[in-house]
Amino acid sequence: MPDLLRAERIVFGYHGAPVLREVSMDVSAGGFVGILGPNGSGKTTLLRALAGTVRPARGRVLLDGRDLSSYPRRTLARRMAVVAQETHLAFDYTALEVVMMGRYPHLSTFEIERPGDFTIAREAMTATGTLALQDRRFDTLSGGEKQRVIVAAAFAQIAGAAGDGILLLDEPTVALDLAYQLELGELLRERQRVGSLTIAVSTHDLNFAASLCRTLVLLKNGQVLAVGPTDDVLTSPNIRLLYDVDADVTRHDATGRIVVVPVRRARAGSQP
Amino acid sequence: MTTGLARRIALTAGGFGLLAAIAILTAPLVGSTHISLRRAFDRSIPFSDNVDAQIFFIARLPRTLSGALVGSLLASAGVVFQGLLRNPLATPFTLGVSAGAALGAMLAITFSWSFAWAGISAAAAASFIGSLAAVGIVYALARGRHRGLSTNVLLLAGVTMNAFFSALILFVQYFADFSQTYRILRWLMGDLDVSSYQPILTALPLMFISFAAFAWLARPLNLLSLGDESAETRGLNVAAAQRIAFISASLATGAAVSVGGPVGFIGIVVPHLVRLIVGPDHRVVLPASALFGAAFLVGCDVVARTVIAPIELPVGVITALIGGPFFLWLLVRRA
Repeated sequence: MPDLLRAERIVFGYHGAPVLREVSMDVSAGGFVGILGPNGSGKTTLLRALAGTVRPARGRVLLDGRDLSSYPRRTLARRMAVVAQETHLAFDYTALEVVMMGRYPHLSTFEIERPGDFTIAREAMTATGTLALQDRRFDTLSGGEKQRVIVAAAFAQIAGAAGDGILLLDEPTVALDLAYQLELGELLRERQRVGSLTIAVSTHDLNFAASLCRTLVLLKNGQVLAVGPTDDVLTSPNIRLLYDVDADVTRHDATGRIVVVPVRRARAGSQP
Repeated sequence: MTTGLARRIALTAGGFGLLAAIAILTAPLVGSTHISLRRAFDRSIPFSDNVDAQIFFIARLPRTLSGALVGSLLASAGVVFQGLLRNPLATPFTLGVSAGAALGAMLAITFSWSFAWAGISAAAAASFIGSLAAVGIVYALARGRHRGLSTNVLLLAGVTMNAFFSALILFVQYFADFSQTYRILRWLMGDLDVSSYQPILTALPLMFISFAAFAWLARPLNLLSLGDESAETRGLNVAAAQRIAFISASLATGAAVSVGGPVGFIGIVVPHLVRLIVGPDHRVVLPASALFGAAFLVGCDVVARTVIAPIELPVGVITALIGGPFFLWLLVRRA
């Protein structure tokens, strides 16, 4: 598979404090990549760099072999959608209005949404099970419902990108309880199955990543600790290095998925 | 409600436009002397003999049109400030932007600066610069806050800015001619005591520029209410949109204040009532607020002129009496 999105030795810092130090990673077309690491490891910043909302001080991000910053914003938005960690609206938009905002990059300056845009929005809401919420005010929805509406907006945004669509999710499980976490995972997997969609997700949730991602990037202190297929990378030694936690990594019989059971905090002596 | 946005815009603009037209046509009929609309528009009587027409066109219409202009500018500037700062309680008046504009205009009036550039008077230019300075300070406070400017910071910043600019205004007042003081005091309260078309004509170019910018801003403001980063990943050039919002709303406030002084609370009462009726989409809210703002301020001015006739109150007294409690009610409801 060719690399769709690629970070090459990117360096970034906020106010001089380095956050990413020479990070390189690939997202192949149709891939499902997890960026895993403890809080403050730089995974959200890495995701932002992939989305083009922060520009690396050094190194570059390539989309289809072209520098990301050379794409016009609207062109990029029609192909790549980002699901933010939390969304707070300043005004009382309905769920459908929020999903329709995903169609804005497809409209010219003074153009108004066409019936086709509503069809796409409603299809995205059907796919995420939010169609029944379309006339509800976004602010009155639960955390899980909000997340699904935002995911629907992202689907509506990249509808039409055909096999080229890219979805980036920043810590999607933080605001979700267990049932919604499973539901979101199921939704993403299903979406990848029906149309080829490329997904990258940042998370600190080991089991969420293990159950969904085919490849992982382990990030610690802004540096890549390990990168590769989930089965190869998600090992006890790596988890100890990443989180300073001793963990058992086993395979769950019924689902065939890797399961990580944190056992205890690793002893100080075992830290790298 | 969700389909046919073009129809919704046309319907709301038509409805609020009709309201504004009715307000503008009937307001000049109300006053201490009774006149008839039919006689005022009767072309068979020479204008020099037609007292009704003289009162309508010379005494009352300029004032009414100033009210419409100031009302629509302040109401739509309020919508833009609220979108830009992501807080429905932001308004030109409570943020201290009107006070900044007033300081600029006062400096121009007191020291009789009398240049004009491209039809824009010194007072209008100075009040634009004053409002730009005030917005610049508020915007600097708001920058880098993910969830927009918190209500606490917003209100405290507004109180501080108003106190600061009021002090400077008082300071400047000491340089004013004593006979001007009463006039200045009324103007600072927000007064539409206009008796020629000149102030309206000088404010018109500024109004056109800011309204053109507002038309472009309507959809970007929807995206900005999701947050800067979400707006950017949906294809918006956020920095450019914010800069345009910031300058055009300052321009609108400056133009309004140079005509009618810092009339308070229009920028919050009108957008809120409009949103209750038409929902939050800025493409509907902006034109509706501009038209309803015109009708609202013209209506308030009729009350100001007649409530203790023959004495005419500054219109700012009326808008503050309505807007003050309204603002507090919103604050309590949101808390």
